[in-house]
Amino acid sequence: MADKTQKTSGNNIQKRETRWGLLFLSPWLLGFLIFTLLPTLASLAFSFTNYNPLHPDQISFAGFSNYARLFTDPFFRQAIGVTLRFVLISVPFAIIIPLGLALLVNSEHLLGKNIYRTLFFMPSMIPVVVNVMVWRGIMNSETGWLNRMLSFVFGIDGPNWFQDERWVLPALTLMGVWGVGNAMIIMLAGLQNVPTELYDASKVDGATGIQRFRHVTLPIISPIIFYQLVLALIGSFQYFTQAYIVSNGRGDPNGSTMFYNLYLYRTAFNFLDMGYGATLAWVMFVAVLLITIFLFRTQQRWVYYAGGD
Amino acid sequence: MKKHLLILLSLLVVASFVLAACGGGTAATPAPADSGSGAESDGGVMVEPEVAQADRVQIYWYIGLGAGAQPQQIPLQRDFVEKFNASQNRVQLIMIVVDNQFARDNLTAQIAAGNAPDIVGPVGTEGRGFFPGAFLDLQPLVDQFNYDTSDIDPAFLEFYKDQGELIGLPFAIFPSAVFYNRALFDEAGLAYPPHEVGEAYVLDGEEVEWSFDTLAEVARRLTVDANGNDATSAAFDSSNIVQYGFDFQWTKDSPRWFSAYFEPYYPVAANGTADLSSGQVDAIKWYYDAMWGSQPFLPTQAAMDSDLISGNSFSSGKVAMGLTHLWYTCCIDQTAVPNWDVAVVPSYNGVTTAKMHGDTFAIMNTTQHPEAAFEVYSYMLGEGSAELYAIYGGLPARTSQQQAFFDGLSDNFAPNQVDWDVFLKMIPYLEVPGHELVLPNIAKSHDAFLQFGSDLRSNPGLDIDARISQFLTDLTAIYQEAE
Repeated sequence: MADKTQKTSGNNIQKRETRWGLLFLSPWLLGFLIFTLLPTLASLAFSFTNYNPLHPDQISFAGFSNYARLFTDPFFRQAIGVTLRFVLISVPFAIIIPLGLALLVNSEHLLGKNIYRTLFFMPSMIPVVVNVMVWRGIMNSETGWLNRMLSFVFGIDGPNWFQDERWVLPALTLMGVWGVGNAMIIMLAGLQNVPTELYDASKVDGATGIQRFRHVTLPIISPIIFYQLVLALIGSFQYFTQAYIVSNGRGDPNGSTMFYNLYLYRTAFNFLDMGYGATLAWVMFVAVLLITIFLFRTQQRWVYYAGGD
Repeated sequence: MKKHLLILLSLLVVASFVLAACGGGTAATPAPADSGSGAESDGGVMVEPEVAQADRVQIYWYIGLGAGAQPQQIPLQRDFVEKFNASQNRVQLIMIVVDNQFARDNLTAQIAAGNAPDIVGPVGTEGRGFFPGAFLDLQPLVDQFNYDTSDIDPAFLEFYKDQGELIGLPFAIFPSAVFYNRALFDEAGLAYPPHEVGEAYVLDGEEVEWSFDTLAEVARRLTVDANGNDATSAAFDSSNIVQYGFDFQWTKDSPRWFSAYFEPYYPVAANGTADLSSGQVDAIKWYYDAMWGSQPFLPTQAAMDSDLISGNSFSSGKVAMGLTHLWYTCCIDQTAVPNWDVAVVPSYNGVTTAKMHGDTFAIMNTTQHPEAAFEVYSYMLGEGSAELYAIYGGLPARTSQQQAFFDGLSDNFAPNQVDWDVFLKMIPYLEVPGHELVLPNIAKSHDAFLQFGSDLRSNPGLDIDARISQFLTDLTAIYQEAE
């Protein structure tokens, strides 16, 4: 009897705590419902309509026509192509360069580590728009110092970075390298968590520096690399601001920077084809979700969790 | 009791969080998007004054769709707003300034969000064309307030009608002319361009027609590389140009704009397909050759972005001539170009065409306060117009105000003497049809022109005939999409 009373009292406490918890969570919950979930569901609904925000009264149900249009839309294919090319070019850089920098600033042989860490991290604090403006100057084919340096040091004419279809994606990738400070710090934290006894043991076993990196460092920081890979991949698929500024919002030159999100933005907000824009958004969401799930599936093969997870 | 107090307190905290999250404000009129960020946000949107006065009706004035977003103009517009707000106690005028490059998208987003401003402008025909049906017919307000239009040419009133509705009252016209840097002409030992239509140009001691061919020849001689060779010299280094001869100053983004100086033409054939006239094709080829030919004299996109020019070619002092509209008087750096004048637009095939812009302000049909908006509007076109004409460099549509406008410009540029009459002489040579007439599927078709223009400025390896053909095919598809 006493046990039952205690149990009922416990339930009441739990219910009360749940109510209070929900009450305190309610600002966030309401915000999430109103500003995230509702617009998300609205965009799903819009994808089945011909919604034009300037003429909301003329909205009508369009069935799956927006989804069918994807198969005949050459600009959709172009945007996919540009985005995939950029992912292939930029994602490896987004992993390798921060890792390289983290190894550098973690090296016991480097003097003034903190200065280098600060210097490498600092550019990532600069707003993206400013970053783009600065790099447009640096990479200007006529007066930019990058081409001047190429000419002075190597005696070659640098490319027309932002006006040449072949060079604009590498240029954007190069520009992105400036902002790897965050990733470097995370990689550095991972490197500093590698147990030193593993290095000591491998040294005793006669492992070289490269072998230690390959068989000790990489497996231990593989969860960090995995995390960075997922972020870099999602970030590359969502690439927008830099492309918007560099290309005057039009995918210049000649559509070579027509990233998927830029195309989506133009469709929805420039051309006010909100129904098709919403369709593009959902296709992107599903594609990125599938890729992320695929990545998570692969982690069993190459990501090592010391805790056994 | 204590428990109830605690609950009440918690509810108040929660409510305050929710209200804060929802961005509740005290303004009678909802502030347009991005207005909460103070004077200037990351998106390049400026809203001033920042605080809405509860005892006044707020009228939001959207600037950037046409002129007005240049750094030199913003403080002058701020002064105008302050002066208006001090002149009465019923209406608070708040300006929203958005970079011209992003203004159309930004305004679209504001309209879509149900948060549109009240007044938009100055804006031209093309800018208004992107928002069909979004502006208020002013005729009922003109009648209600007995607004005097007797001093305005009736033809101008017709010019501002859209589908029979008066969506703007004539404010300013902007004829074109060639702005030229006297110092660079003197340095090259070249005669100044003519100030009368039909007047010959003296080149190498001979009188020749002031045509685009002549302009090209003069521009080549004014284009100089780092070694001091001009573009006609065999030793000229086109990869190291330090001075250009000519530019379509801020009139070249769309080939539809600059080609209007050659031959006005509405690029839609009778059967609804895209079409360019032979004059327009010639203009495009002339323009492309001016950048990428063997003797270039016009800045490419890379040159425009370079430190040499920094986006404003004539004002850099490194470009000898700029063909553009009267509004360009807004943005000439008198330190870099202290000695300049204007000449007539050159001819093409013996015909002179000076394209014109006609700007005005429009009241959006979503305004909650049409009468207050019209009060501001009347001030803009009446009592406060002299200041706005000076800011935007617009020739008043009211003939009685034109001399005072030119006197003001002369004061601004003194001691430099400018032959302002050139602009008046260009008015009879306006283009018909206008280069801003709305196209089918306007947002996409305009965008296609801009992309084509960008390709011309950026791509040195184009097969120009094939590119024009491809452009027409794409444009036809865009037109047909709207059918």
